[in-house]
Amino acid sequence: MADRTVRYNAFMPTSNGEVSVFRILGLADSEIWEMGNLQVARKRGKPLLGRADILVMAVIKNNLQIDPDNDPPRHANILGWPEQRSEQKLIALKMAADSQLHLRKDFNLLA
Amino acid sequence: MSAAIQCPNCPSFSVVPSNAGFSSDSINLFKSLENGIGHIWEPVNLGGPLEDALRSLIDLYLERSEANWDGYNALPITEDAVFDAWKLIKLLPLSIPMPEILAEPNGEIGLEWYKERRLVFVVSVSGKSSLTYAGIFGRNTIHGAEDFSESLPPVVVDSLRRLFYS
Repeated sequence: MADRTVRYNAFMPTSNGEVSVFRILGLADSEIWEMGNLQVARKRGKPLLGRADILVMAVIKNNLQIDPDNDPPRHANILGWPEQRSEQKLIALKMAADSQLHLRKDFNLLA
Repeated sequence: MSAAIQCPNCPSFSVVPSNAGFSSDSINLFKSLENGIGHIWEPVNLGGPLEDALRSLIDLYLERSEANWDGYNALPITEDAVFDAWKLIKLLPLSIPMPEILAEPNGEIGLEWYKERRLVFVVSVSGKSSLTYAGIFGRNTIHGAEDFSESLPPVVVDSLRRLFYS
């Protein structure tokens, strides 16, 4: 994120084979940040500096599935990752390239 | 008239092969080389890219060496992974820029060379003397896994050359 681009590790699956995401369709920008603060930043105990937005189509075209478990509300997991670690990495690279980085307006990269 | 050029094929001389031999001459040669290389790095690279990379690796380890560092049950970065990453960095050809160093949720350390959105190559290590790699070169992609010990697998060197010199 240092140069305002999304890095692949944001989309690498955990050992459970999941990537945790939130569905943001229909939400205002302020609502997205609020949800991030509540559901991600507090859980991690770290400030939320940015987010990577990606279209569902960019996930599905890599033969992955989206499981909207709504736990918490609007939460989903990206599933169906291939076994090979290198193949996971390639998909994560593609998804990072297809995603859009949004930084918090009050976050200064140079600070 | 001649001009200095970079040599993308040249191996790094920052690592001394450890499988050179067991005779006293071999051991003395090994120590001489090791001392010489140490002197090369000390004065000229103070604050340089190699030291910056080492600092990044140490910072990553300090921040990510406990389980669940991401709040999603990520595995910790291990000392063995740091050792492998450092070995890999030192084996890089001198003409290749230092990578960005990242942590992956499964405890691997990723070394990423990012040129632009669809020109990117990444190598990951987990501390088992093996690596996985993936890359996007415009419309072409590659991925795979290799063992490594004393030298970088040719596919890694070729991919980095492709990224920076083609």
